[in-house]
Order: sequence, then structure tokens, then C-alpha cells
Amino acid sequence: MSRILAVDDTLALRAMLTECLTRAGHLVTTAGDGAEALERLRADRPDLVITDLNMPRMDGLDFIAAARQEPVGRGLPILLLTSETAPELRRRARAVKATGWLQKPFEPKRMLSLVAQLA
Amino acid sequence: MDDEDDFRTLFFAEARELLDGFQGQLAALESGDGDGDTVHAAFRAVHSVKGGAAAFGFDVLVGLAHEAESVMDALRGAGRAPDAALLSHLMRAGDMLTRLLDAAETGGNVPAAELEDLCNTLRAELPTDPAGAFEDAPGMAEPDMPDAADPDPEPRRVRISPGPDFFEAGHDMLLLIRAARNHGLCAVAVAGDLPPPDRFDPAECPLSWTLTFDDSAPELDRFLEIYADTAEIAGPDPAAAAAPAPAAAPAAAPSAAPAAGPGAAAVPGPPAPAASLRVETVRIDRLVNLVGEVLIAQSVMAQRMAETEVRPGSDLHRALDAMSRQLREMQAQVMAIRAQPVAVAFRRMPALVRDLSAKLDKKVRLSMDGEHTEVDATVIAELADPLTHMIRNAMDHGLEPPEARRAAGKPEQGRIRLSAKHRGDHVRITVEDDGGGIDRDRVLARALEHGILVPGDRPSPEDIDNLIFHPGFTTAETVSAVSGRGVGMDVVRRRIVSLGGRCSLASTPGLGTRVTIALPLTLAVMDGMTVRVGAQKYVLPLSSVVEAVGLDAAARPGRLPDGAPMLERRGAYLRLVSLRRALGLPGADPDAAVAVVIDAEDAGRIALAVDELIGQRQVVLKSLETNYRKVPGVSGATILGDGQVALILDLPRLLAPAARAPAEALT
Repeated sequence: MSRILAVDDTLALRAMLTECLTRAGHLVTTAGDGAEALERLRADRPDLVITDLNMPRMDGLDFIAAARQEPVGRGLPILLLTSETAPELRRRARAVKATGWLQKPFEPKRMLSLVAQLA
Repeated sequence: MDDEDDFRTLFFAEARELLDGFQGQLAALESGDGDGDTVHAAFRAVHSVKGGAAAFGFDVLVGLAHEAESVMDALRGAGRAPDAALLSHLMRAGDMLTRLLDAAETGGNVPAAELEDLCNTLRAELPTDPAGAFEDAPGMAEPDMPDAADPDPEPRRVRISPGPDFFEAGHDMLLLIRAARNHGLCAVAVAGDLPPPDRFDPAECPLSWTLTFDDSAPELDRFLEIYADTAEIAGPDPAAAAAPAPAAAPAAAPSAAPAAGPGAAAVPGPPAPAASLRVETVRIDRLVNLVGEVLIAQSVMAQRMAETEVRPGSDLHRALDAMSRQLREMQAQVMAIRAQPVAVAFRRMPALVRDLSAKLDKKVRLSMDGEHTEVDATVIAELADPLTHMIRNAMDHGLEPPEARRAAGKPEQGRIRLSAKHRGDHVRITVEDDGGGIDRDRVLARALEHGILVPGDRPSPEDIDNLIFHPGFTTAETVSAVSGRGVGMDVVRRRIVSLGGRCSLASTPGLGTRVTIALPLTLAVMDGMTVRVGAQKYVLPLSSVVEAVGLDAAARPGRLPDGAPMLERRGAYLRLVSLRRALGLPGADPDAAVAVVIDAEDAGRIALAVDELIGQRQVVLKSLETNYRKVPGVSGATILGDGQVALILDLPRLLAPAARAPAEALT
């Protein structure tokens, strides 16, 4: 059982992530954008974060960069859930020390196995 | 998942709302009420639709939303509002997205030609440089990982050298190794050296790990993919792991290595087949032997070192430790060269089964798996006889005749499954049949008849099953031409044990029997306990050593009812055997002797009196048979750290002289 923070601005995806992770026995909290995610990060101290890339207020990359400055975010597994594949974005994700990518279309099995691997 | 429909419904509702918003924003821009924020909001709307559609795999939706998004992104970046023509294209795109949404929900048709025309129109609106950040249409041509469609059946080695960002990016070697266990991890080796404390940087990792996965490793590439950005990963293939380990993880190498994983534009192609080289076996054997000798020399050095004044932790000690680690790594790699799949030993079995099937008039289907499991060539050579024996036994005694099977409601054709698997530093080989299982009443009766058990003994069902490993035990009503007379599973077990392995059996009455043998992955080296008797040193296989006890006055042995000396250990009375006498050496045991408690299989636990305990050490096995001749009770020889030759004792055979005769029959 891991505590997982799921960040996405789309309600349907948040619901799906929550359902899928909860069913696998994890404890899930959610946030609708990067800024909210930072607050949740400090309050909930999750074991792992799954975040969308493009979000209002603060996007996924800025969120990861900010999280890495926080004591709770250093060395925390943070997965980017995205449909983007551009090398430039990958490079930027590496630069902010994202843990890895979770490619859309969303594969619950893949996500759960990564969660088991990293948290 | 079961509730996917619910999520879809939620997605469709949300996407419609977003598209309504998108049209509203476009209308605002058209009427001049919009500004930069409106452009941004419109971008976000199509982007969210695209993200959701990608999550549910609506590729057509993703494709168009992507084009619209790209246009909006370009506008946003340029800080300008769309002109009238572009606005009308975007509105058409909004309409089309709604129609595609309907089509996705109801399974209706997609107006393909119109869609393509629209996509092209939008694309034409983009700034001339098409190689922008969003050049790839995701979901359309998903450059997915070349999935492990053809799982490589060999055990695979992967070297992982964490880069400077590994830990900060949320990875943890301990978690990795723990998770790897679920992916068939069977061995871990560490290479590299920690710098002195004053130069130690906790963020950097000077170590690299070599993980060995067994043949069944599921989706290994996918498992490793997540680490590829922040660690250097060599493998998974046996050849790559053989390359020398880098002294330290190179800084920021990842950008130079485009093997980043899936989704990256430069997806690594299928690995080129490893170049191979044919080498005579004798050369490899010589190399294996040499590495063995070097290991011996190194252990002598370590021993001498301990006797000097050099304080532990000094540079010299550290250098020696580093060398010993590298030597062990080298040994593992050299052994890997000589590894062979057990298929080599399995190959003869189908013919054997066909042959026996005709002789015994039993229909049998043989299935094999794990035949790609690799073990050292020395083990392969030793496998053939026990395997033949186990298969014969399963066919002769395990499987019932066709009529009996019919009566029991089973298919006439019996099944035998032969499988191999890596488990830790052992290879486990199993022969299973779906026959009648062991007839415990008959075994019990036979055991009483032979005096193996005495009336009043209350053995458990498992104990009874395992009686078939007892020397000379056979329950065949008539001695058949197939399994021979009185040569039963005890022969298999004795052979396996003398090689440092184990045997076990599980049987379910009416359903079948499973015999499992576990053998070390190599017979070239062995962990042994060195002891001294008189002027000679002997090596006992560590796998049979339970503990060592000083025979001082306090533990002075007593006598068993039959007059034999005995030793009390934790409430159990162990027969105390003088190794000197068992070996037929002259002289008497000294007063200050030591007893090594060993598990001698058939003979149970025995305390073995020796003059001195020298220590535990990995020894390199030399065949006595090829260098001299076969000696009962001795499984081989080795050269010790001080240059002396020591015999390696085959304890069960040495200590059970009565059972010696049938053991010869196997060879």
C-alpha cells in the first residue's frame, strides 16, 4: 500500500486514476493543477506522485521542479502521465528530475507495475 | 477495467463541456472580445480533450485535437489572435471534434476524407518550421517499446550504474532490487568502490549492480525502461554484461545515449545479435581452472594478510578487498562463458520416453519447460544419469497402466513434465507425473519387511513418501527390466547429494508424484569446510555441515545403548563418528578434538570427530577420477591456500558403507 498523489486537471482522469489505484490497495489524494499539488505534497507526504503535463496555473514540469526544492520532494518518485512524445519535452523532464514517463493511452497495468516498482 | 464505461461517460461529458467552451472562446475572439487569456483558454480546452482522448485510446480524436492544439499553441507563442480564415478553420475543427466525440461514443462513422482535409488545412496554418516541439502526433504513430514479444529464454544479466541524478529523480536501488524479485531476479552482484569518507558525495553513486534474471523474466525491458534516463543500463544480454565495469558512473552520459526508452523519437531498434566466437572447450576449461587458481592465491594472500601487523581498514586491506570482489566478478563471468542450457541434458529424454512407452505399453506425453535454463557444463554432464533414472521411475512406477487410468477416470495417456528453473544459486529440476502417487500402504509394508521401520514407528505421510530414497528400497511388485533390481531413487539422491545438491519428493495419492532435484549452478567451485585429521586436511561440503562443537571436557561424549560413542546436542543424541577411523587412518583422536555436526542424509545427523577445524572457504574442485582413479567416499580433491592437496569427502557414502554397493550401479 502506498500513498499516491494523482494530479490532473481533467476530472475524468482524476477519477480513473483514483479508482484504479484505490482498487489496487493504494491510498490516493488528488490535485487539479501543479500549485494545488504542491500544497498536497506538503500536507499529505505521498510516497509517489503521478502528474499530468499540461495544467492551468502550474504545469507538470514546473511542479516537479518546485517539488524537487522541497524536502518532501527530493528523491520522491514523480511520474509524468502524458501523451506527449517530443524529445524536447523528454529532455526538459529529465532536467527537472522527473522519475519517468507514463505514456497515454492510459494502461492501468503498466501504471500499477510502475507504482509497485518505485514506491 | 469494469468501470471503464463510467469513466468514458465522464470523459464524454467533460469533453463536450470543454468543446463548448472552445467554441465560445473562438466566438469571443471573432467578435474582438477575446485577448491573450482567451487564446490560452482555447489552447487548454483542446489540449485537455486531447489528453483525455489519448487516455481512452480515441486516436482519431487525438489526431485532430493535436492539430488544433498545435495551431493554438503557435498563436499563443506568437502572442497574436487568429485571423478570420483561421478562426473559421478552428471552428470547423471544434465542430468536427464534437462529431468525432459522438462517433466515439456511439460507434458511428468517422468522415475520414473531411477529417483529413481539415487536418491538412490546420497543418498549413502552422508556422513553416514543422519540427516544432509538438511534431509528433501522439497516439497516431505510437512509437511503443518493441515489446518483449519474443521473450529471450536465456538468463539475462543487466548492469545498472546509477548516474548523478538517479536518487534525486526518485529512484532507490533497494526498491529496484526488491521489485526486480517479482521479475525473476535470481542474483545480484555489486561492483565498484566507495571513496574515502572525506570525498564521499551522497548524491553520486560509484557502485554498479549486476542483476541476473532467470529465463522467465517477464517484460524485463519494460521493467528497466524507467531507470534508463538516470542510470546507465548495460544489457539485458549476457555479452554486454561481460564488458568491464566502469570505475565510476560517468557524469551526465544520458544525453549521449538515446536509448532512453519508449516514446523518445529515437527508439532503439531491436538489439543487434551479439557477435559470437567459437572457442575450444579446453581453452575455457583452462581459463576456469586458472581463475580458480587465482582465487586460491588470493585466499592465501588474505590469510597471510590477517597474520601481519597491517591494521584492518588500511589501504592495503582495501586494495585486497577490491581485488577479491573483482576476482569473484571475474569468476562469475568466466563461468558464464561455459554455461549451457539444460536442454542439452533434456535432449535425450523424448527418445527415452518413446522407447519406454513401447516397452511398458503405457501412453505418455512428455512436456518440457525451462530447457533454456543455463547451468555450468560440469552440471550438465552430471544431470543425464539422474534424469534418466527419474523419468524411468515416473514411467515404470508412477504412471498407471492405461486400464487402471481409465478406471480412475483419467485420460489413458499419462503425462510427465520435465522442467528446470533457477532458484538462487541452484538450478531446480522437476519431474512430475500424473500417475497414482506413492502407495503409502505398500511402502510402509515394505519398510517394515526390510526392517527400515520397526512396528510402532509412526511416520508422517511425507516420511513414508521419502522412504523411497532409502537405500535398496523398491516397491515394484516384480523387478522390471526397466528400473532394475533394488536400484531406486536412493541412487539418484546419493549422486545429487555428493554433488552438493538436494532431492525431495511430493506425492498426492491418486494424482501424481513430483521429484525435485536442486543442484549447484557449477561443480567447478564449492563452499567447503576444511578440517584436519593427523597431518592431512580434508574438505567437507558446506551444504552438509550443520554446526561445529568443541569436544572439551564439558561436552564429553557418552555412549549410546549399543555402546557407540555419542554426543548430546540440544536434547538430541548424535552418533559420534571418528573421521580418522572412518577413513581408516592410524592413531587415536586427540583429547582436544572438535566435532562437526553433519547432515548425512540417509544416516541422519552425525557428529564427526576431527582434530582441528581450519575454516570455511570456497574451494576449486579437481577430479580425482581423471587424475588418479575413483575412490569411494571421496568426491574430488582441491588445492588449499597453503598449497596442500586436500580430499573432498562424499559424506553420505563415506559414512554409510553398507549402502555403498548399489551406488556404483549408477555409473
